[in-house]
Amino acid sequence: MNRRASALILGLLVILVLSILSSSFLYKQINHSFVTNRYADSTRALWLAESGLRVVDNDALCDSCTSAPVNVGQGYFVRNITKIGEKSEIINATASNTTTYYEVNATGTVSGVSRTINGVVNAKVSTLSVPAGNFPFGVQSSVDIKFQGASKVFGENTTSSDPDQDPEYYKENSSFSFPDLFGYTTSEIKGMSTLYNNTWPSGNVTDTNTPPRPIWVKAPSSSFNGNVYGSGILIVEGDLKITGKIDFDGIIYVIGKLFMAGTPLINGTILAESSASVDTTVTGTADIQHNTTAIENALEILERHTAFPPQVVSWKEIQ
Amino acid sequence: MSALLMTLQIGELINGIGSAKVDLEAEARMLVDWITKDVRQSEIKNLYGNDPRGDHIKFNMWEWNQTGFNQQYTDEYVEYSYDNQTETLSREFRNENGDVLVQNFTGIVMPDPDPVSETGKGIFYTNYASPTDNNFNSTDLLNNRRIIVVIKKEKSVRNRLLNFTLVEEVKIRNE
Repeated sequence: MNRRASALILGLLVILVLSILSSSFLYKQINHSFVTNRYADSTRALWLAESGLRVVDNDALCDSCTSAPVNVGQGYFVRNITKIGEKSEIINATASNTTTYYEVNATGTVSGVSRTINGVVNAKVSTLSVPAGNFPFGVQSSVDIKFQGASKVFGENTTSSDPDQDPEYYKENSSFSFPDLFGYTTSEIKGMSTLYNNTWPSGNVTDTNTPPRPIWVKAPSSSFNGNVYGSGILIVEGDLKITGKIDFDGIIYVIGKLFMAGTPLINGTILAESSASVDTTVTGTADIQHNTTAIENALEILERHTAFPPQVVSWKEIQ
Repeated sequence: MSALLMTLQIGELINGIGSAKVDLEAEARMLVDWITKDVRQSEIKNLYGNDPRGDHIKFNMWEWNQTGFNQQYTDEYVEYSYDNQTETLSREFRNENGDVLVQNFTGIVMPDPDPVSETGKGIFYTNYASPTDNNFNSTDLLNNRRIIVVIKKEKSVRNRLLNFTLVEEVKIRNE
């Protein structure tokens, strides 16, 4: 009986010891697994934060905003964007860059483990613009200009209260070319214009497209005797003989002979590029006022903005 | 009874070795994680300009300049140096107060430098195919902005030599 009892006790002891050993192994395995999982979660959290930083596009950029959590796999990222400032850079007379800098804090979280990256992202916008300084005169012609009647040409610096033709604001026998002035060839501008083919426009010629386009008129053989008003860039391919009424703010460019009678009122500039030796004639009650602001506003039509995808220029892990 | 004691002894031995192995892995992982976290946010030209080798890297910390819109180096730096004689990796950190804090990680067992093949030079590599096919080239580092950290930790437990090797590639984020 005693021997049986001893064997039983010994057996129980063995089972107890083995149980303790097994528990110890199990505990270590669980602990190891926990450490490994935490390491994996931490690595995933870093890559999620990295995603939050790298997938920032131009639409996501803002002066100050926090994104909603973006779920990816078993975790998510949240990013906080704050605008830092802007840097402008003039490349040449027609090109400039504006670079805006944003601070982005992107936090990736997986199973409660978070890592945060502090980055700086820049968004560059390249602008091609035509300077208003390319158009310093109210009237500019490649041939002689003949002023008649009560025509007036003046500008911002004209001091006379009743000027006729201020020599500062017209230039005859001038050498200029369309591409030099506009930064585009005639066919490029024609390609981006609203076209009037062998017909004169009438009424309001301000282009209503978004963005607005230049107006390109392939001139009919008849003279213009209608009534036109508006603003922008008006290009006439062919001779322009005005006998009607034009009230226009901006730039009128004539690729041909120019004859202005009637009652044209131009606030900006008018140019005539004529290969013929016929004089440019300004007569009647033509009133031409060189206006830099009107020219600048018109040239905005030709401004081209190219937005580049944001670039990460600084990277630091902060948590 | 003797069987029980033997079982206990073997169990205890396995348990001890298992624990040491887990510790070794955890230490190597923590160390690699630490190094990669440091190196990842360094700036490549600065790293390149501070004599990077297989057994040494150093780089300055930087702050973002809010008005000049660029990174500006500070006097703070992090420097890792490996000595294969003492099997020690040192991390030296100079903080903003000018204090230099040194931490030593022991038991890092990397092969001796091979003067011919230049393999086994330390813990930093630009190419690491295997323990015998690897090298560190600073020009590659500059061009690819990529560094490979290899840590082989070794520990003797109850007359048994345990080792664990961890390899991690890091893309340096700042140009």
